Amino acid sequence: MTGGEYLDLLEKSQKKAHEKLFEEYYSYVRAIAYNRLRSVGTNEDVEECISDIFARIFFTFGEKYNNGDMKPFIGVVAKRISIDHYRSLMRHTDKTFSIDEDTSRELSSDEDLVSESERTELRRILMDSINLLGEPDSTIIIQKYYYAKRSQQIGELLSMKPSTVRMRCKRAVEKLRSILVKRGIKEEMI
Amino acid sequence: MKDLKLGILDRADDDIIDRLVPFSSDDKKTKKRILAMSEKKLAELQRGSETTENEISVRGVEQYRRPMWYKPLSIAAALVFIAGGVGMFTLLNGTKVNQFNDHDQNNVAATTEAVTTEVQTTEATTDAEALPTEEEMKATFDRLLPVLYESESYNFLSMDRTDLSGETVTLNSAYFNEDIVYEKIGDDRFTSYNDLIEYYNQYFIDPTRDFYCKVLEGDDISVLANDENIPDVIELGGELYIHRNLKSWIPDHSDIEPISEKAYFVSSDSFQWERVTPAQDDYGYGVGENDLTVLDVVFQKDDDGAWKILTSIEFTGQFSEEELNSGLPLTGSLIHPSETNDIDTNEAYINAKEYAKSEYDYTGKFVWDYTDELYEDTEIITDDYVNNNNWMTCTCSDLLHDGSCLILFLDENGTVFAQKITH
Repeated sequence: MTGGEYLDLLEKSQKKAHEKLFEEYYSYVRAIAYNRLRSVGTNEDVEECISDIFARIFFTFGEKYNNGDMKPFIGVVAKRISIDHYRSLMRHTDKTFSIDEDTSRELSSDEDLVSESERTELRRILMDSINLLGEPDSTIIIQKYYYAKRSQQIGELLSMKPSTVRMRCKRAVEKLRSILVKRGIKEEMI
Repeated sequence: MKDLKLGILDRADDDIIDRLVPFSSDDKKTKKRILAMSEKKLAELQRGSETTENEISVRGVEQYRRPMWYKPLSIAAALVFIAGGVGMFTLLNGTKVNQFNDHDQNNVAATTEAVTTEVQTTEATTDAEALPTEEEMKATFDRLLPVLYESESYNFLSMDRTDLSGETVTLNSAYFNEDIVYEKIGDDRFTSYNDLIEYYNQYFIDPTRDFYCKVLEGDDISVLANDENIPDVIELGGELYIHRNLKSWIPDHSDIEPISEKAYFVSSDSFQWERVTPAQDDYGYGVGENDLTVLDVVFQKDDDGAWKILTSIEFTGQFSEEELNSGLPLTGSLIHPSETNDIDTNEAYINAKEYAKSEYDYTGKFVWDYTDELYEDTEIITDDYVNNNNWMTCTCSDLLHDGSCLILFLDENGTVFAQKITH
């Protein structure tokens, strides 16, 4: 859905426009929010953040932001609000954090450059390796170990019995470990 | 199995986030709730509320229900363990216990080992507490296996149950961008979903778990157009239809001579039966020389005392020597397959065994149970565990070398995270 289509639909029915936009971009917004908050918040915190993001998008998006593709706008709003939630959660847990959280990519030394570059490469290798498992195993791995979903929830998503999910998961992990070892990646590195 | 950690994916670049997007959907109920929250917050923004942005983020998330499946277990229960082809547990002192079948690979002769405690014990005498015999369990499995095969949704597509040249309905799925065809089921025993469930209620503890069915009000299938989950069966206009392109989850090996058949986790009202057959090329993808097909079915007695199917799992593949000799079911433990507990019991057993051996030089047996609370004076061993009150306890059947009793607590990933020692 383009920005223009959204605004046209908004004039006819706010409810339908919001539902359509929500449905289309939910996974994208959730990926951003979860990626930022996973280490500091609960699922409830992530849901809170997602609802704030969409509320802000519904409230803010207008003709002045309309350049066709809505994804860049939505991405920026999602990242900003996710960072706000991250800071808020970190404050509540008394952990220290960098004031320049959103500019953490401004690195000050060559050593940091290497470290960040290595992490980027490791992420890419990890995602490549997970994709090599094929479906539904790659979905099971991400849902279970990244999104912390239970076997029953994964089963409903994939139309599988929970017991089948558990069994496939166990074998997928073994296979993933084997793939990573062949690529020279030790488990402690990820 | 150690927990897989994917923390390196946190705070990743846009390209990694884009790769995570396909995995980032949620169930309809959650999305509906979050959309409602968004609309509520939008209304506040539109009212020009003077509250700050943080205050707008009001907690409106419903409380998640914690599982409450606690089953108390008496530590003072005495056990009789009979080794051999079948693991059996007698009921003593009026208390039911479950125990992992800890086979001694070098001892194939049937032996009887009694573990006594300070509490006076008596053998079970009532019919209600009697364990099923091997013959009874095998007969139950043989009787219900054809029902299990028949009930698999894929098998509704056989010619004698569905007229494959008959009536169909087509779902134009916008989500998958393809047409999905459903064939009308022609089985005289049932026409509606309620009929289907009522019929299979004779054989399944909860048949609703075995049929992924959506009942549509009216006769408009297009309501499913944007659904990301395609049901196997739909009820439309009061009639049942089956998805034409279903795959079989459980290949029919009833005519194939089994390599082994064995019962696990036997109690007076439940048992798990595992049947191993040589793998066949059921799906046309070829099979390896040493591949096996393992079918596990868990049976449970209903309120009237009739054996029914609780759950099942089938798996085809290769198994290591260690797995084949472990004494545990090859597909893992399905017993207590509660929809809420979801604990990796095999991993838990292995970790508990390793921990007890390394910390206390304990190599005896365990009694296991589930709990949603820590006992008094429990010591936390590690903070790296799933703290959701969905736990398992492993109690050492024998005393430790210093005469104390050890209880271990494990989370849903099988991580030993706490212990309690009593003297």
